[in-house]
Parts: sequence; C-alpha cells; structure tokens
Amino acid sequence: MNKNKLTSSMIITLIAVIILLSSSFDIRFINKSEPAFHFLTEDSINIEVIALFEQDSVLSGYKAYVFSPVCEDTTCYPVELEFYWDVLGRFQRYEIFPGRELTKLDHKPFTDADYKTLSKLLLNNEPAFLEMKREDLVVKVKKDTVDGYTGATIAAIKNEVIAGAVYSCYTLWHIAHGIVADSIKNHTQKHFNQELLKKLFDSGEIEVAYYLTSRLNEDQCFTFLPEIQKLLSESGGFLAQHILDQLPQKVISSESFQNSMVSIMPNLDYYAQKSLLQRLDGTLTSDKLGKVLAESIEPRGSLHNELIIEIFCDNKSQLDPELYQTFLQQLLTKQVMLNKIQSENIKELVKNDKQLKVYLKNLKQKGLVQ
Amino acid sequence: MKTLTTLIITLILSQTLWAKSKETIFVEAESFSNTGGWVIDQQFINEMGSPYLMAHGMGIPVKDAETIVKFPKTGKYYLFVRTKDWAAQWSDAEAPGRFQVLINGKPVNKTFGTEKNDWDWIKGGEVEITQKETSIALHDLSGFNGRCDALIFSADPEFNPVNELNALTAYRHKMLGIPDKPKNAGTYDFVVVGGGMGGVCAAISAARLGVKVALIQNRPVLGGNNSSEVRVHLGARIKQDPWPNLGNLVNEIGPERGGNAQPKDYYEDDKKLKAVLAEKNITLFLNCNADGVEMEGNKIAAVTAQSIITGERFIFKAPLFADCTGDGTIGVLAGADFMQGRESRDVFGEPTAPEVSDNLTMGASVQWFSNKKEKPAPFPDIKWGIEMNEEKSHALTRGDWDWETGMGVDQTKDFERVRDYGMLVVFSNWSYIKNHSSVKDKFANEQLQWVAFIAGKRETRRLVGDYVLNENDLRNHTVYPDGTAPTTWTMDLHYPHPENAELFPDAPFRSIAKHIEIYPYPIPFRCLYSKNVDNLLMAGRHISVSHVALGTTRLMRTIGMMGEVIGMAASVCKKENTTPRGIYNNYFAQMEKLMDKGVGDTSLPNKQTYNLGGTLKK
Ligand SMILES: Cc1cc2nc3c(=O)[nH]c(=O)nc-3n(C[C@H](O)[C@H](O)[C@H](O)COP(=O)(O)OP(=O)(O)OC[C@H]3O[C@@H](n4cnc5c(N)ncnc54)[C@H](O)[C@@H]3O)c2cc1C
Repeated sequence: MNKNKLTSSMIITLIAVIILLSSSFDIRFINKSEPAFHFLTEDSINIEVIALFEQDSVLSGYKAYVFSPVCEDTTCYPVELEFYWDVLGRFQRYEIFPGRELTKLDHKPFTDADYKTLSKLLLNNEPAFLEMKREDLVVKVKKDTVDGYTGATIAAIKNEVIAGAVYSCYTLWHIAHGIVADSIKNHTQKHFNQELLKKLFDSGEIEVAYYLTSRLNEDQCFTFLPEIQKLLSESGGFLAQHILDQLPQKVISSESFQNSMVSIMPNLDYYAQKSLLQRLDGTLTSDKLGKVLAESIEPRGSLHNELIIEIFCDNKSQLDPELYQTFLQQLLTKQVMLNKIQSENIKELVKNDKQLKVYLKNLKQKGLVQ
Repeated sequence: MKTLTTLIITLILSQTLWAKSKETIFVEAESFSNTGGWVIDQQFINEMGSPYLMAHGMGIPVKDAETIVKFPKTGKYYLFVRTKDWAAQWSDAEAPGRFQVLINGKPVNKTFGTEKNDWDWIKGGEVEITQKETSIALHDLSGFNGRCDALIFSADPEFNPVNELNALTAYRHKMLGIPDKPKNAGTYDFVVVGGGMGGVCAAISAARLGVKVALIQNRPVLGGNNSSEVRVHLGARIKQDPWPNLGNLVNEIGPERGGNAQPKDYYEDDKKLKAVLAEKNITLFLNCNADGVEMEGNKIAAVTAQSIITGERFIFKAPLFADCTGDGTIGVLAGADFMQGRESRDVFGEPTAPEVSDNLTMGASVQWFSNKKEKPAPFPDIKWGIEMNEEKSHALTRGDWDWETGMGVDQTKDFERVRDYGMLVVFSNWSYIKNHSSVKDKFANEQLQWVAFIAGKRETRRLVGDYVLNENDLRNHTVYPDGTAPTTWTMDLHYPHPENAELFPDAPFRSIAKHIEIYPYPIPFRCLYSKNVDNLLMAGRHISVSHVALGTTRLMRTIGMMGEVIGMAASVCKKENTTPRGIYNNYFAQMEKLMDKGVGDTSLPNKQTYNLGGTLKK
C-alpha cells in the first residue's frame, strides 16, 4: 500500500468516524427528554428525575443528576454523578462527570476497582446492608491516639462495599433503589401507549409482565388480549395466577375472554385455576367454559371443587340449562361428598327443575348430600 | 394462669441423682447439682448411652462441676469414671480432654480423659471417703473438651462395671431407681417432638387453632440450628405465592438480624421461648429427649422420653404426633420408611442425581469465631491436632457454614466422631495460626470466643411420605393441588471443597455449594406425613424429598412454614377425627382456607429480609 493510499484511506475512516459520532450525537439530540418528577432522598436532598424518550413519544428510561453530601467518619464531601433507570425504575448504570471523580476517606480518589464495586453494588437489589441502619454499618474501634475513634466496616457487608466509602455506597444505593423506583413505575404508567406496551410485552421479562398486568386498564387489556393469553399459557412461576388475580373484572366477565380460557384453563396450574375460579363466581357467562369447569371437578375434596360448586349455584339464570345436568352428573360420577352448605345450595338449585331433581335424588341415594 | 416455672417443666430434681446399691454408688455427671463451666451434651445418647458433662473451654480450663454425694458408710471405695480420650483416634500425643476427680476438694491420684478412644469405665483406684456427705467435683485441666458420663464408687474390690449399652442402661435405671414404667406426662391432642423452627411453629400454629399440644425439646433452648447453641441464621423467603400469608409466624418469632456464627444475642432464643410460653395450649418440656414409641397397629400411641438432666422417663399420649427432630427419629422408631444418601438418577429421573446411588449426605458444621482483645491472647500450641501448615491452614477469624465435615458418614450413628473432628480442625487451625503462621502477629490479640459444641446438621434421614418431591417438580414448576409452604431457596447442594479434599483426603472439613434457582414452589402436603405410620406429621429437613430437592427445602424459614402448615393439619385432624392422609383425601379445602389466612400476626412489618437467597421470581 503506498503512502497516498494510506492517507486517503485514513481520511475516509476519519470522515466515517465523524459521521458516526455526529449521527449518534444527532439521535441523542433529537430524542426528547422532559422533567418527570422530583423526589426527596433520605437526607432530604431534592432530586429531579428526567424522563427519556426514543422516537419522540416512546418512553425509554429515566435519568437524574445526583448531588448529595456524604460523610465518611468525620469528613463530609459532595458526591456528584448521573443515574439511569429503565422504565420500570430498575437501576441501570451511573455516569461520572469529568473532573468530578468520586473520592473516598481522606479524599483519596476512587480506583477503577472501586468504580466497578460501586456498579456491582448499585445493580444488586438485595445487598447485605438492605435492612441495616446507617449507624450499624461500621463498628467503632479505638484508635491508638487518645480519644480517637475510627470506623471498621462490619464483616457482613465488607465484600460488597468500598472501604473508606461505606456511607457513599449506602447513600447512593438508597437513592438508586428507594422511593424513586415506585415513582418511576407510576410515571411510566401515565405514558403507556401502543408502542411502549408492545415493546414491554415483547421483552419476555417476568418482572415486566407482573408490572404490566397489574397496571393495564380494561381497554388496554382487550387490545393486548393475545399477548396476555400467551403469558397465561407459557409463563412460569405464579405469573398466571397473578394475572388472573389482577385483570379488570370487566375483562374476566367478557364472553370473549372466557371463551379464550376454554383451551387455556385445563393447562393452567392448580393455583392459577383457583384464582380464575374465584373471579368467575357470579360472572360465568360462557357455556363452553362452564363445561370445562364441570368436567374438572375432582374426587378429592379441595377448595377447587368448592369454588366450582359455588359458581354453578350462584350462576343459575345465565347459563344453558343442560350445563347443570353435566355439573350434577360430575358430582355423581366423581362421588364428591357435599358439606351442609353445599347440600343446601344444590337443593335450592334444583328446586324448580324436574330433570335436575332426579340428580339430587341420585346424589342422596349415594349418601353424598347431607 | 400458668406461671413460667410451672410451664417450663425442665425436669430438674433439686438434688443430684446418685444412687446406691448396698455397697455401690452410681453418680450421673449431668445430674451434678452445680455443673460449673461444664456443658451437658446429649447429642450422642443413642451412640454411647447417656448425656454427659463436657469441659468446653476453648483452651481455658472451665470451672469445676460439683455435687454432694451421700455415702451409706465412710471408708474405702473403688472409683470408676466413664470417659474417653476423644482425640485418640487422630493422634497419639498427650490427650486434650484431661480432668481430675476431686473428693472434698482433693484430687484423686489419676488423670482422666487420657485413655481409650471409645467410652469406657476407667479405674480411679482406691479412694477414702471420710464423711457420709462428701463433695465430688470434676476439675478440668485443659479446657479442651474432657468429658464424663458417670462415676461409680464401689466398696466391693471385685466390682466391675458393665459397659455394653443395653446392660449399662438397665444398670443405670436400677441404680438410679428409675422405674421401668415411665411417668405419665399427660394426654394431648398433638405431641410435637423437636423444638427447632419446624417444631416451634407447628406447636404454636396448632395451639392457636385450639389444639392441646406437648412440645418436647432435648436442649435447654428452642430454635435448633437457629438457636444460640448452633448459630445458623434463618434463610429463604416467607409470604410467597401461592400462600402469601404463610410465614407471618416465622416473622413473629424469627431473629431480626442475620449472620452465621455471630454473638449469642443475634439468635434471640428468648423470643422463641416467650412465643411458646404465651400459648396456653402448649406444655413445653425442655431438656427432654424422646427416645421411644409405643405403637397400636400403624399408629403411634405414645412417645417416651428421658430428662437429659435427671434421667427420669416420661410418656406422652396423643392421637397425633409430629416428628420435628430434623433426623426423622420418631418416624424411624415407629418403623417409618426412610431414605438416606443420594438416590441414583433412575429413581426420580433427576438430572443432578448421580448415576449410581451412594451414601453421600451433606455434612455437619462446628462454627466458630474469635474476637480482638486489648492484649495478646495466647493459645496453646497443641500437639494432638491434625497437622497444619501454611497451605492447609485458614487465616480467618470466623468459621461459617463452609466449615463442614462428615459428608458420607452416617450422622445418626457415628455423630460424636463427626462433631469431635469438627472441633479438632477448628482447634488445630487456630493453634497453627496463633503459634506458627506467617500472619501470627496479626492474630496476636485474637481470642477464640465461641466454638459450637452442638454441631449443626443439614441432612441425615428423610422419611417417605405419600409423595417424594424431586428435582424435576422444582425445575419444571410442576405444582400440585396439595401445595403448602412455598420453598424458595435454590437447590443448594454441598460437596467437599476440592482443594481441602486434596489436602485432607480422609476427612475434608471445608465445603462448597452448587446452586440451581427455582420459582417459589409449594411443597405438597403429601410430603409432610409418613406413608406408613398413619398419624405422623413432619416438618424439618427430614420430610419426604429426594436428596436433590432437600437442597431447597432444608431452609429454616421454609421449615417454619411447614411447621405452621402441620399445626393447621393437627387442627383439622382433631376437628374431623381424621388422619393426615384423610385430610389430603377429604378435607384439604379446610387446609387451603387456613393457609390462606395463616396463623401469624399479619400486622407486623416483615423483618425476615436477610439471607433471602436467589429465586426465579425476580
Ligand atoms: C452451618 C449450617 C449453615 C446453614 N445455613 C442455613 C441458612 O443460612 N439458612 C437456613 O435457613 N438454613 C441453613 N442451614 C440448614 C438448616 O439449619 C437445617 O436444615 C435446619 O436446622 C433444619 O431445621 P429442623 O427444624 O429440621 O432441625 P433443627 O434445627 O436441628 O431442629 C430440631 C430440634 O429438635 C431437637 N431434637 C432432635 N431430636 C430430638 C429428640 N429425639 N427429642 C427431642 N428433641 C429432639 C434438636 O435438638 C433440635 O433443637 C444450615 C445448616 C448448617 C449446619
């Protein structure tokens, strides 16, 4: 490669880098940000949180300029940095300002390792000092000098904090994880729009799913019903139960939702089924789902059975009369022992229906009714 | 209202138990009227026959234990002392646990604790008794765990004491006048054996639901591994799906501060005791070791127990029992099926199980810590320890959970050796650090402040229930309709520390943990009662789970919630006159309603936020 070629290729690279830099600068520049809210830290420092947007209207996170005095031992000094959170108020990262690096006891600057430790600590939701009071972080040890005391970090937290900056660690963690997290969650809810919700559902994160499904309004639920159904069928842990506990009653009562549960319900775990049953009491409108419920009656005594029996006894007018036959037949086949209240309710249920009375007779014959 | 003194039946006789046949007098060490600095150790009764006194001074001789013995006549007696040289199995050097017997303040011409590596009667030779009421004392010479089970004074020169366990027990009872028929300790709705987190919560939960309970605990304190005797902090999460109100009880009685091997007050023994004493339906029997059952068919009709101080025997009758011993002791006595060691992969199809089953269990821990003193605190340069050097030793001031030994040893049969080895390595290490290590100057003012003598166990036997929870249930979150206490800790299994195992191939004493995260998982009710003993509930590390699943269920907050659940089950059993299996089949809806409420105080702030462990819920 000759010299000319080299310089020209260098120039091209340089231009490319400049374009790249300026374009990324452009994106940042174009992206909207707006003041979101203020909060007070435990030391009564007022902090303003800024909402950040991408593509103008889609919320992408939050940041705040944090300026707080911290005292280590007897010296106090300001700590200054910028915090970033995601839209759920989960701490993401911090940035320091050039020339305003963090310092430890005796004004020693933070080392690279200290910055890393701070990062790791701030990203930890359950640090060892979670439940500790500030005054418990160090034990007072007598210094060699008369009257002098110095603090030694207690062993339980030593590995997670920076020696000589224990209080900074504690203070900053509480700013990053304190009241601000809930405030962000509430603020984000105000900015729910189609794009943001889609993005959040697509994230596949369980924590996001918990958050979303407890905050969506009825219309949003109907719009994202396929996504919600997907979560119900595929999620792990107790998410399905949580969703069924949280969905607005109007959604649960709708026939479209109940029909969609015909295929989902049998695959839900016991606890999610139980939550659904609790919500369906008095609101079962889908005959198809009713059939599924009747058929899921089990021989073993359980709350699950009790709830299904309640649903049928409380829903009489709204459902296909044939469904009651299926229900009573299931009680017979599975030989479910009915307690006193249930027996009374079943008697009440069949009172004006000749066909159903036959089932009651059979139940009595088998000694299942009291 | 019952007062504190009548409620805690600590079963202490006002006078030492000593007994005489015509010419022979038997004196139980643990019954000395003043035990001085010696501790009562009942952990190995089933191995060596009795509770004993031990001089646990961490290198500083403890205060004399003393009692007055009444002799039928003055004159010449032959003295026998039941003891052992506890370190002899590891070392030929001078024995660590040396002590003397003082008669009216004067030492007998013999040092005890220096011979035999197993319990036996050691001849003390001729002694002259000059007064009918004579002071007998145990005088510790070393502070290193000398131990004494009992003493015999015989005027008969031909006398030879028995040492075979059954014969010795019979002889003890005869000499101490303990009748064959145990004293009736009452009839209850529910007898709970073991006062760890599981037992305490089971007793309180049942009592609050109107069940009359006897709680039997073989130590002077409640809490088991979470007591100040073992000092393990509570772990895992309470108040979880699907039963967010389970665990309020653990929150009521659990310590507010976390940390293993911390100062005594961290473990708040009193809080647990007060909570139990506050329940008028509980009668508490401390210092009482359950060691037998009476059966009627497949049911336990009664449990028998012995005071670890006086040796007196008691019988407790009830229609329902709970084994909360951690070892499944009551189940095993009653003939319950049990599991031990690691199941092979084909038993439950568990990915973490070994190809071939083996006897590996997790180990036991003797935790410890030192404190910095104002002045140098010397420690003896012991010769009877295991060999240490720079590479083998650990320059630490605290021994946490990972000081763990005895993996693969049957900790229900050979546990004294495990505990003693646990202590031996602590002393050996400390002696090296203090006297030889390159960092010994740094440790000059450090003094060994606390070393456990009650070893913390993690795994011995697991009783088989109607269901055995396994790794796949937890990994796949296959939940069952009879789910109860949610287990949240990782499947956390311990193995010998590779480097330590290389340095100490015969008996490693440091461990590592491997974790698999899970979603909160409600433990099936069918894991909380025995499959073949019809009226036995259980809560503790010995419930019906595979070795791998025990990795998560053995955590004490979880065990506290199991206790809460079986207390509820006791109330349903009482109300419906049914068995635990009967509840599962016919009355589980009642359990669900009870679990939905919980029995704990819902108004208290949750203080159980330390040592939560990872979970997939996050
Ligand atoms: C070093 C160590 C660290 C650990 N770390 C943790 C941790 O961080 N968090 C956590 O939650 N768990 C931890 N564990 C596990 C946990 O401590 C055990 O699994 C737990 O103790 C089991 O509780 P338990 O109620 O079954 O048994 P225990 O706590 O042992 O309680 C049983 C009680 O019953 C008494 N008893 C036994 N037999 C009889 C009898 N025959 N008669 C009368 N009373 C009897 C015992 O003396 C004991 O007090 C740890 C264990 C160890 C050893």
